[in-house]
Amino acid sequence: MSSQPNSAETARRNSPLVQCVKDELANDVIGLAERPFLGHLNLRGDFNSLNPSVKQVFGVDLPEQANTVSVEGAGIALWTGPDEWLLIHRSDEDADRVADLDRLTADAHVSVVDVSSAQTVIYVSGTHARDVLARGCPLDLHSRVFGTGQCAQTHFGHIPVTVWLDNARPDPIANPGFNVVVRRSFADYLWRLLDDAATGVRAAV
Amino acid sequence: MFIIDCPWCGERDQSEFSYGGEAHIVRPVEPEALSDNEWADYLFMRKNTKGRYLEQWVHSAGCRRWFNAVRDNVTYEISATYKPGDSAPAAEHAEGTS
Ligand SMILES: [Zn+2]
Repeated sequence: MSSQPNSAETARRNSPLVQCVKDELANDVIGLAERPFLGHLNLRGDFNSLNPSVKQVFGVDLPEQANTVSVEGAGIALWTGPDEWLLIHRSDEDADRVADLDRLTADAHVSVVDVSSAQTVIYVSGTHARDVLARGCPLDLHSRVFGTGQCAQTHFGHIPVTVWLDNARPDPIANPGFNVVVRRSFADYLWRLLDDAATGVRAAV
Repeated sequence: MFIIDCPWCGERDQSEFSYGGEAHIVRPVEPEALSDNEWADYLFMRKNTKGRYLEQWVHSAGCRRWFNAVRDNVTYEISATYKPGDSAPAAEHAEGTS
């Protein structure tokens, strides 16, 4: 995901972590990066009222199993509750899709809210990514419990976060990439906590 | 610290949850028909018994859903969790004799 402004519209945007030093580690132990400007849609309603429209517009089925994620078509759909999902998509390419979904669901008893500017994603990757997250997050991150296809809402320190594992990495178990969704106002704090955790883990490697 | 079994998410750390007091307190259908004493009883009076207790919890850092738990408030052991609207599992022994 490029953070380069590509139009007059995006040139005025700042990502929540624009001021943070980007960690460009040459080795594969720990990487921290922001995945800015993704589209985030909060979806609430019955599965049957939402799924056909979401499938038609984004080409992804909403997961019905708790705490799982579907990566398909133009969307990444995360289960966040029995009647709630978070749909991540490429906002720059998908303005029409969001409008289409709005139109298709206009008469249904559902809610589709664009929360893109309210949150961002921090990408924690590398062979020791689990150790970094484990320093502030109570989830059992062992690959037997939290593997590809799983997502979870939890906290890192006191910060509410939603986590899912990148399934497109060549070896997501030995060298995982965790996507950590965080609210914009917490992003700077979370970045600093993760950076601090990463410093400790690096020193112990 | 202990582990709580969210009816939707499964076993998670206690730090993801918040406590919501005694479960199965039903809001009166006609609050305006109640005396002040009856209303105060609904609002404030709780069993607060020792031992097996039916409680509300919310998975506040997780799926943000409310559910009920059977917890022994002496040993802290949570013997069951169940969704709102479901009835409590039967006690293995008489209440209050733990
Ligand atoms: Zn839950």
